[in-house]
Amino acid sequence: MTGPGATDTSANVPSRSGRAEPRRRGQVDAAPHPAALHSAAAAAGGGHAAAARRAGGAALAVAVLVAVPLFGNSYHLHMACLFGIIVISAMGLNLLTGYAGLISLGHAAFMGVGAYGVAWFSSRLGLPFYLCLPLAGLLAAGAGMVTGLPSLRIKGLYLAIATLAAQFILGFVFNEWESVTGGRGGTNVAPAQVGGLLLSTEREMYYPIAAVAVASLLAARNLFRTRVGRAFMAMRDRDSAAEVLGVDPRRYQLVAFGVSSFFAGIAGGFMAYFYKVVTPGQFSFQLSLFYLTAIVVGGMGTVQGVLLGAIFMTATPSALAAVAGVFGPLAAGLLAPLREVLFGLLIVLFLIFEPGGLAGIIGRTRKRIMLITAAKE
Amino acid sequence: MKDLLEVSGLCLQFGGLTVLDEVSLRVPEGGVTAIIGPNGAGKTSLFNSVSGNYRPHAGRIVFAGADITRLPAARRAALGVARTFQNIALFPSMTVLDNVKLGRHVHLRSGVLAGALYLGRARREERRLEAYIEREVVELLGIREILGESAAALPYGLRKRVELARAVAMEPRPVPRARGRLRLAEPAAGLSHGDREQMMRLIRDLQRLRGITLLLVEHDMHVVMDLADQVVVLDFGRVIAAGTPAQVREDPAVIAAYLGAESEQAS
Repeated sequence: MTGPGATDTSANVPSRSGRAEPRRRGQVDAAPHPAALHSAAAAAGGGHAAAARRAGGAALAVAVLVAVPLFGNSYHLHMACLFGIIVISAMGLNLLTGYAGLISLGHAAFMGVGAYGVAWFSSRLGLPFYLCLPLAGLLAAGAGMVTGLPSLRIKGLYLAIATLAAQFILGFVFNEWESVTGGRGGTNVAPAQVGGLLLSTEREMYYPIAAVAVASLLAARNLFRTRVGRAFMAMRDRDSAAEVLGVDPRRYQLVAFGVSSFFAGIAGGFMAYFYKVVTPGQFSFQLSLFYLTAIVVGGMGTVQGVLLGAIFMTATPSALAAVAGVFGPLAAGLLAPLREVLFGLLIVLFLIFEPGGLAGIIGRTRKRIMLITAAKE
Repeated sequence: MKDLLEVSGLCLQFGGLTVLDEVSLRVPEGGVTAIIGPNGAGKTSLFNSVSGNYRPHAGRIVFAGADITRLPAARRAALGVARTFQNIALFPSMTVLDNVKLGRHVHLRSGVLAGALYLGRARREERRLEAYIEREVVELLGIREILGESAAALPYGLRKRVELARAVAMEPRPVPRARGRLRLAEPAAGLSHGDREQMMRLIRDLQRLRGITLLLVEHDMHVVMDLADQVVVLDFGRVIAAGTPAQVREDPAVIAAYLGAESEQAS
């Protein structure tokens, strides 16, 4: 089964543990796992109060989400829908890059697969909305797993380049496979329909998007308190040690690509229904970069980071546009390139100065406040 | 005392190099037996032959009356022979609880969908896992207060304790077909003298508590002197002495074998 050499390497794994842990960039060291926090709180005897607080928070969040269409105008709802789509897709990328430690530069391409999937399933096959979305997710998951195949052999930078290749190969397919994708002009998507109810405007799309966004956050949170999620994090932290414990990194890398792309496919599917047209330009490398920025800024490896990243990324373009408006039409022309520069800059700065992202900053601040209030008591 | 493990005439070669040369030893049931010897004496090779990772070329290994010489490692584990993995590095960004839970990864079944829904099966499995850790590990190793901490934030000593906690969590329940329980431990790798002794003491106490026979591998004889019931000394692949720690300490062959190591330590 194993030769002497193989056994020796496994026996040498432990010796590394003796040294101080270098803090690896891009990883959230300090952010405790919510489930473990829960257990720890329960162990300390404060379980009921914490559970009640959490139930109260959840009820409030649901109330706010339900109330948005009652008070918002169509611009608010447009932004809320986009926000929901960003949450779903960013959660997918965070599963892969933040939790499982596999960098992807091709996330947008998997969203594209989902979007074209929805277009095909609904227009050509006439399938209903509630079947098209999961099917689009599965289609994207398949594409993601094929892209993940090289991860069985290569890691780090090389894997990032493989995902970049997937981005451009799929982009080429979107452009050129005209009989299916409609080529450069794209393809139209009929509005979603549930029973007799037409889901056409942003007001009508809001509830399905919000529901799926909440579901994807809950699904991710659940996943990371069970076996598969722990395996993802273990192989991110130390793949050799994970292997000794019986976590097969190759298997879980593929699973991570599949699950991540499933989320991307669903988000892309919603985009198709939302814009009612799918074009190759929507799923360019810029969009992949957008999502990478979202999770790096928000906080890799946390569910909270996805929300913060999505808020940031929804607000930034409007803020930039407002600032550019002050400086007149010339500045407005520079807006698009300026955005890319800003995103790139943000990724670099956060990786260097705050690998935990906004979630890391908030977590530390909250801890400090708790310490101060505890000291006062 | 009945012998749980009996090794006789074991020979192992790598290429032309003889690593184990007619090694014979007996491990009495319920106690702690330590294999010691200078670097390169063949301790780890002996250890790997017993666990089933190496195939010896000659000799017999008898465990609880059954010849296990030709059995693969997994079958030996089913009979009750297993290694303990007490010094696999922790996962720094994960909590202590998650680190310990990973020790039982291979005993769990729930998949992606079940985990994401966290209803029924996955939830039950997770509850059972937490109950198991609570019952078997938390109290024994005194890690209750740090369960929610991230592993990277712990001081070195506590980190070592969590590694051991995970090894304890990995421990399978007594297997129905097992003929006895023998654990092979090699806590030495990468630890300082004092940490090693503390680690071994913890392991010894744990195994004694559970009635498990322990076979330790260590190169420094001082570390094992007051915790082993029996010491077997290897040098150049041969057993040069065996007996109680006191007997072995006085043995001229052992003193001679260790003289180099002793003077190195003194300098």
